[in-house]
Amino acid sequence: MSTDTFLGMLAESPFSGLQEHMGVGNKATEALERFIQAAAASDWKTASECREEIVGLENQADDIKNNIRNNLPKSLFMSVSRQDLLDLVFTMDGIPNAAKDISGVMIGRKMEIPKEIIKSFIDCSNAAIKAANQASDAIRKVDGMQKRGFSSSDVAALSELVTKLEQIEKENDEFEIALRNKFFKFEKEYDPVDVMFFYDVINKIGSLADISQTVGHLLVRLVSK
Amino acid sequence: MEILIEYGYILLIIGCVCGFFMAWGIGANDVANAMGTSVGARALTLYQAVFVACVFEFAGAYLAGGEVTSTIRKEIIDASVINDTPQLLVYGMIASLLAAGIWLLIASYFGWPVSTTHSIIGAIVGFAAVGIGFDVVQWGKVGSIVASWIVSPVVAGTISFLLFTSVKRLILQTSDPFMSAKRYVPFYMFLAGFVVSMVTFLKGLKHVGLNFTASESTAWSLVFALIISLFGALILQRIDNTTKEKNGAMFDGVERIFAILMVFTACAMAFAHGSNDVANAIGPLAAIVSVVQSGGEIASKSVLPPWILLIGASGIVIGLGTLGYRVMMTVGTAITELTPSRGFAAELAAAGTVVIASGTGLPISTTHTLVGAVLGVGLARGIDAINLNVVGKIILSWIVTLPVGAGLSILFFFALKGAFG
Repeated sequence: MSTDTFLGMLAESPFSGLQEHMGVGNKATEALERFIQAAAASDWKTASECREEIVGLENQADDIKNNIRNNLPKSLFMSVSRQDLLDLVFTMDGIPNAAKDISGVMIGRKMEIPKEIIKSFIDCSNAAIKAANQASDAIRKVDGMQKRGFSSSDVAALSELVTKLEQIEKENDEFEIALRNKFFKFEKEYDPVDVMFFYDVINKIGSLADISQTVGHLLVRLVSK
Repeated sequence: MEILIEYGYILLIIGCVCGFFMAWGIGANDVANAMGTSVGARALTLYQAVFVACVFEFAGAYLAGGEVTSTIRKEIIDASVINDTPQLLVYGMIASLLAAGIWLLIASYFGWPVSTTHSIIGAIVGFAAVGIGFDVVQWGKVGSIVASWIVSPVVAGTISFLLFTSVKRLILQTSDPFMSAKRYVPFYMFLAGFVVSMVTFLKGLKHVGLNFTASESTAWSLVFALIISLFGALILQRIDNTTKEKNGAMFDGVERIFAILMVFTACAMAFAHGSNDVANAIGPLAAIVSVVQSGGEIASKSVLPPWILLIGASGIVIGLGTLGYRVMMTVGTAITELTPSRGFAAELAAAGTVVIASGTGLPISTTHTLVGAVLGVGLARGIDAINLNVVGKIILSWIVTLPVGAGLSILFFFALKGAFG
C-alpha cells in the first residue's frame, strides 16, 4: 500500500543546515584565535595543530554549504527568499575560508610578527574574530525567529544586533589603521617580501570583519519581507 | 422491472460488498491523510491516532454523513429520465463503487495520492453520461461540485493563514509565549468544538430522531464547545514550561501545549473526514438499496436507512485497522517538519472547511483541503519549505483520477449490463 501521504509536500527545512554551517564557522574562528596566539608566541607546533583543525572545519563548511544549495530546488516555496538564503550561506562560507587563508599565509611563511606591533596585531585580529562571533550570534537567533514565524519585532531585534556588528567592524578598521601606521614607521627594518606578506595578512583579517558585517546585512534582508 | 425482482437480492448483496470494499479502501488509505498531520507532528502516537480515528470517523460518518450521501445518491443523476430502466442505475452505482475502489487500490499500491471523492464522482458521471445518456447527468450540480473542489482548498488556506497569523500575534510573538499559549489555546479548542457540534446539531441528528432549530443548534453547540474548551484548559494546567521528549521529538512548553490542542483538532479532523468521505462509499450503495427495495421506483423519497451508514462507518474502521495503521506508521516515522503550532492551524482549518461542506452536502476531498490549509500556513511564514513539485503531483493525480474513474466505471457498467440484461 501507499507510503505517500500529502505530507510529502513538506520539504526538509534549510534552517538546520544554516545553523550547522554557522556552528562550524564559529569553531573555525575559535581555532583561528588560538592559532594567532600560538603564532604570536612562535609556538609553531600548536599553531600547526590549529591550522589542521581550521582546514578540516573549512572542508566541513564547504560540504554543508553544497548540501544546502543542492537541497534548494527552485520549486520550493519557502518562508524566506531562496536567493537571499543562498546569498547568505555563500557569504557565511567566507568566514571559515578567511580563517583558512589567514592561517595558511602565516604558517606557510612561519611568519614572525614584529614584536613592536604584536599587541596591535592581536587586538586587530580579535576584533575581526569578535565580528565573526557576533554574526554567528545573529544567525543563532534565526532559529527562534523561525519558530515564532518571523515578525517585525524580530527584524528590529536583528537590526540591533547588526548595528553592534557594524560598531565592531568599525573598531576593527580603527585597529587596522593603527596597526598599519605603527608598522609603517619601521617596516624598512624588515625583509621586503616578509613585509609584503604581513600586509597581506592584515588585509585578510580586515576582510574577515567585512564578511561578518555583510552576513549581518544579508540576515536582515532574509528575515524582513 | 423484472430484472430487479428476479435478481434484486443478488444485486443488493453485490452492492453492499462493493460499498463495503470502497469504505474499506477509504479507511485503509485516506484516513492516514486525515490523521497524518497529527501523527507527523508527534501530537498523537500511532495507537492514539487509530483510536481517535475509529471513534470520530465513525461518529462523523454516522452523525453528519447524511447530506453528502444524499448528494451522491440522488443529485448527480437525474433519475426521472430513466424511470423505465431503473436497473441501469443499480448497475451504474455498483460499477462506480467497483471502479473507484479498484482505482484507489491501484493508486495506493503505487503510492499515488488520489482522492476518493474525485474517483467516485468521476465514476458516477462517467457511467451516466456514456452508459445511459448525456442528459441524465445533472451538469449544474456536477459543476458546483467541481467548483467546490477549487474553492475548498482556497477557503481552508485562507482560514489556516488567519489562524496561524493569530497564533503568531497572540502567542508566539508575545514576551511570554508559554503563558499566552495557556490563555489562548482553549479558544482554539472552543472553535474546533463549535464547528463540529454545530454541523452535528444542524444536520446530523435528524435520522437519530432529534430535530433542532437553528437557534437551538447554536445554543447547544456553544454549550458543547464551552465544555470542550474548559476540559482542554484543565488538561493544559498540567503542562509545565520545560522541553520534553514526546513521541520521538523534542518539544518546548509552548509546542507541548499545541500538541494537546492537536489532539482536539485531530478529533475534529477525523469527524470531518468521516462525515464527508463515508458518502463516497455509501452514497452509491444508498441509491442501489432504495431502487431495489422499492422494486424499481427511483424517485424514492424515503430517508437514508441508518444501517447503510453503519456499513460505511464500520468499513472505514475495519480498513483503518487492517491496513490504514500501516500507512500511518510510515507517516509517524518520517522527519517532523510540521510542529504542533503549525499542524493544528492546518488541521483545524481543513476540518472546519470539510465539516461545513459536509453540512451543505458538498463532496470535497479532505486531502486537497489539507494541502490548501498547509499552503496557507506556509504563506503566513509558518513552514520553512514546501515542495511545490509534490503539490503539483497531487493536483495532477486529482485531474487524472476523473477520467480513469469514469473509464473504469463505464467498463464495469457495460459488463454488468451484459451479465444481467
